[in-house]
Amino acid sequence: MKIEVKSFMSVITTGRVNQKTLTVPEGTTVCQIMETVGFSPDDEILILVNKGITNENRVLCDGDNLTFMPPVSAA
Amino acid sequence: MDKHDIFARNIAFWGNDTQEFLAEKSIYIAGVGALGCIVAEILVRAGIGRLFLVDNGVIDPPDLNRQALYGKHDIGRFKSEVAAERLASMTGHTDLIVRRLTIGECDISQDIKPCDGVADCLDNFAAMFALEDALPETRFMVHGALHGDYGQLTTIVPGKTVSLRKLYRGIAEKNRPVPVVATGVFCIGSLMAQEILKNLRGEPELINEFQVVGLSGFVFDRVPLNP
Repeated sequence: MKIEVKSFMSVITTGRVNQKTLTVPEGTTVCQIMETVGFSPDDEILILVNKGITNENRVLCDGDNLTFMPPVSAA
Repeated sequence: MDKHDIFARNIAFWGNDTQEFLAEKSIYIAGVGALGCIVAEILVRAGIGRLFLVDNGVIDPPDLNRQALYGKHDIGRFKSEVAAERLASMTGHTDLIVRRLTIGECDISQDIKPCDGVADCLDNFAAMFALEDALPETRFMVHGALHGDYGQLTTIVPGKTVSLRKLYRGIAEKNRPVPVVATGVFCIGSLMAQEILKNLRGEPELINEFQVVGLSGFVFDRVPLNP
């Protein structure tokens, strides 16, 4: 199945949005995608699937849009 | 000084009716640090009627790289008081109310109640959640936050949009200084002020949507959210 992944985490480090389409097996979780794109388990990340807030245990479906955002708080 | 002279360029842009409309509005600025300084200054220059300036912090040397209302001679003074002095000297047409308090440790609901909206310019999740808890259902809050020259902002309306508590549930506070530079502050602060003006006019741009800005790569993007 295909998952659209868009990460704004990289905007902080590289200045660019990291956007790609991944082909993954049925039953793939958000956590597995996070490992694939290079996040560590300690990274704090806001996770959205199809606009909804979710967590790393979410099982993905074909065509899902997965977005990663940094939880920034400074002012 | 006559307000029609001071606000002549505003009136040329949005008309006298809007100028008079803004003079009747009040905004609660929660946190008068980096973002709070920019939001407050823009709203004063826009001709807003009243601002609450809420901060219990004092000015430290590391604030001077980005907190636009303060200079080296203000070190050790309370931010809310210095901000009020600087803002008072700009147009003379905004009532400035200073509140030296820490949000989360005091009841702020009576101050927020008569305000038309809130600017969340706070720097920690606990205080943001306390501010959100005090927000009446009929009011809006524009939330902004930064890291380096990256920033994001959205409008929060109780019962209508996703809440900050839901967004940031389980995220730990960062107990070390976060890198922040003036370019990000001025950009996100300006966008927050614009979104406040749009909310006041009933035309918010960022309901259930994050505006994301990354200045090093000139990234300007939107992230839709489900409530």
